[in-house]
Amino acid sequence: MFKKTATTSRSKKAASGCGLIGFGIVWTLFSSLFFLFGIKSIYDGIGRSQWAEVSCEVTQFKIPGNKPKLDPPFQPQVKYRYNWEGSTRTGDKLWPNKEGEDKFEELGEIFEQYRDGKLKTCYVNPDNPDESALIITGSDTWGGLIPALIGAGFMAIGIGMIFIGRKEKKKKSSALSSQETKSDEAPALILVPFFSIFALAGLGILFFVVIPKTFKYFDAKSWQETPAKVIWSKVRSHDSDDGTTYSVDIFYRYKYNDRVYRSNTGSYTNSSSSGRSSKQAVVKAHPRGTEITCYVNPEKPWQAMRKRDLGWGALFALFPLPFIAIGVGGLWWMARNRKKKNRAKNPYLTESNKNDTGDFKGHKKYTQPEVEFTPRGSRVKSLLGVFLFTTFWCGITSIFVVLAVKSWLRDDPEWFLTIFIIPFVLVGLGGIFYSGYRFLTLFSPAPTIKLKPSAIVMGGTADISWAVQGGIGSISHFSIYLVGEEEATYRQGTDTKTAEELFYEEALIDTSDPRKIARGSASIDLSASGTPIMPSWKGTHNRIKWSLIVIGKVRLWPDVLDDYEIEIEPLEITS
Amino acid sequence: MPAPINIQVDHQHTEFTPGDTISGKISWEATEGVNEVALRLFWFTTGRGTQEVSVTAELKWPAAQGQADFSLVLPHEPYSFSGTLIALKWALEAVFLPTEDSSEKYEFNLTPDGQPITLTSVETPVTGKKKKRFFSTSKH
Repeated sequence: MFKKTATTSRSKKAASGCGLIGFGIVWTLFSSLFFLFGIKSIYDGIGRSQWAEVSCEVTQFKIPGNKPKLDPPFQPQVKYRYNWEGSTRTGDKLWPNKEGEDKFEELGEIFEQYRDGKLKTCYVNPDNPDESALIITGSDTWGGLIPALIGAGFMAIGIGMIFIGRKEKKKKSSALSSQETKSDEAPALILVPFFSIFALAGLGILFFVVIPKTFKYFDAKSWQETPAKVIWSKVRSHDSDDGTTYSVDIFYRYKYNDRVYRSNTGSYTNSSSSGRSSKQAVVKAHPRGTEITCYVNPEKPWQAMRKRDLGWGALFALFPLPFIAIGVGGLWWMARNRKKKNRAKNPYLTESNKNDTGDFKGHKKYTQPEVEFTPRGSRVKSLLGVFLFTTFWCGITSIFVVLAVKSWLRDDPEWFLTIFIIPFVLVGLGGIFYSGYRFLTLFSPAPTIKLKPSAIVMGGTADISWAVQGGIGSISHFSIYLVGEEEATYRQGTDTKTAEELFYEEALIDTSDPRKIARGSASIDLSASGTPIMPSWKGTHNRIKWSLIVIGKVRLWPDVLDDYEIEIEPLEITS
Repeated sequence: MPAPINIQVDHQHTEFTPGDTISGKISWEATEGVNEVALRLFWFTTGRGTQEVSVTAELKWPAAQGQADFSLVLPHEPYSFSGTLIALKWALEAVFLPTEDSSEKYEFNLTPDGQPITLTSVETPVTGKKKKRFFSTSKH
């Protein structure tokens, strides 16, 4: 008689999970800064939207355009008078919370209202009537939404980490049988907000930037070509986490319907990039007083642009696509996986699998009389996978290759960029070579394998037959192996690795005889094997996998190498 | 100091086959904070791969009861085995709920013929050439 007496296992490994909790707390606190900043902006914006609209007299509205070194360069100087509860007050703010604009066009419409004498109201803070502004826009309120949403997303990831860490900590200190493997619950806490951030960013850029720009592109086809004169030009620097990028900023004056307007809009996308010298060359070619051509919106003449051809800027339309693909694709993948896993829950724990006493009984699997394996589908899938990866990789890499090549062509080589992209280019070339190789395998001879029955019961027998059809080149040596292997997936640092180990390998056919290669049959007899075997089994991280591996040596052409997973079933029992 | 739980199994061996009944007696001392006692039949993995645990049956009794007889029919699969990378074992474990204090596990093998399944590596695999072989050592 076996007897086991209790010991407690609570205290062991209790420290595990603390690291993740600590990291999650730091992450959440840091993310909460963005969130709080966004919320504060929204709160302030809502507060400002409650300001009272009162009549006012604008006495001065100037936008000095002669100070390109100012940041931002266009800082309007306004003065106005307004009455509040019987007393006259003055104000000098166009907006309540900013000094100026980088883009002159943003000021154009309000400046035209002033010139037309239509700017007759301002907004006053009822709690502090000395505080006022000429414009309060919706963006004051909703401008905080983006940092709030992004901050909330990152906070959700951090909270997910804390939750998982706590769960992990609790799990590690509990009984082994309480540590039941649940594969996808915990990561969902992190992955859902992670993918949501990508999806929101991608969709946000698509709907609020790309689509309006697209409309503007078609609209601009009817804009009027108009002569203009450069007021000043400069290279503008933009600092970011990825380093400094540069853009050309040309401020120009033009006349439309006898009225003078100004603008610094270049094209649809005022994008910036690395490499200062090319921008400096453009600026050098456009000194003060240079005659240029711009295109003016006849309906809103304060809107103009120097260039209305898309050029490389058209590629910007593709910018949100990877974000949408990762975000929406990730969420879809998670939903699909969850559905799949719900369907494949442990059969032993279902009520229908209990006998009268509530215990679990054995079950019978359903085996098809025959299964046929052909390599066509898997070869096409393999080619598509490699091809898509290579296309995506080379597409991204080519942008930087073009930049590097251009820098060399104009004798201003980008050394760092050139050296940096070399390994990426090599991977791309490897992908192209391998895509070509996989393409050739489409035309390799295609052995069709038939297995009767479709699944082999442990210790049982099965028949296998093959026929080699079509393809370029002939197979000089042909073999089919029955292979059993262990497959273990584990975490090492931040990587997930899979180890494989073969425990069974039997040649079912191994021949160079052309007649046997063309067509033949063999038997599988698992009872005759002297080697201990384990039927197919699949856990969440570990599995026992059985396969038929087909190898064919082809002269001067990619060899045949096909792998078909098959099922070896446990012995049947009846309850 | 948690109170002990005793599992007494009515068998002198640890080799079982699918459909066998495993029976015995469980006894415990009820302590404060313990509401129930659970006896779980489960399998777990050890070795290189991330550990997996799956409970296939659970019996529960009120903590005040102090002792109980149990009888469980063993499932069809998965079989116990010991490989180079992975080993799968079956066990019974008694757990106080909700405190999670547990007994030592009663480990046993579930195989089709009551003989252990030991998987050994193929020394020089022909098809292994196409596979990544991360390890050639025995499992830890």
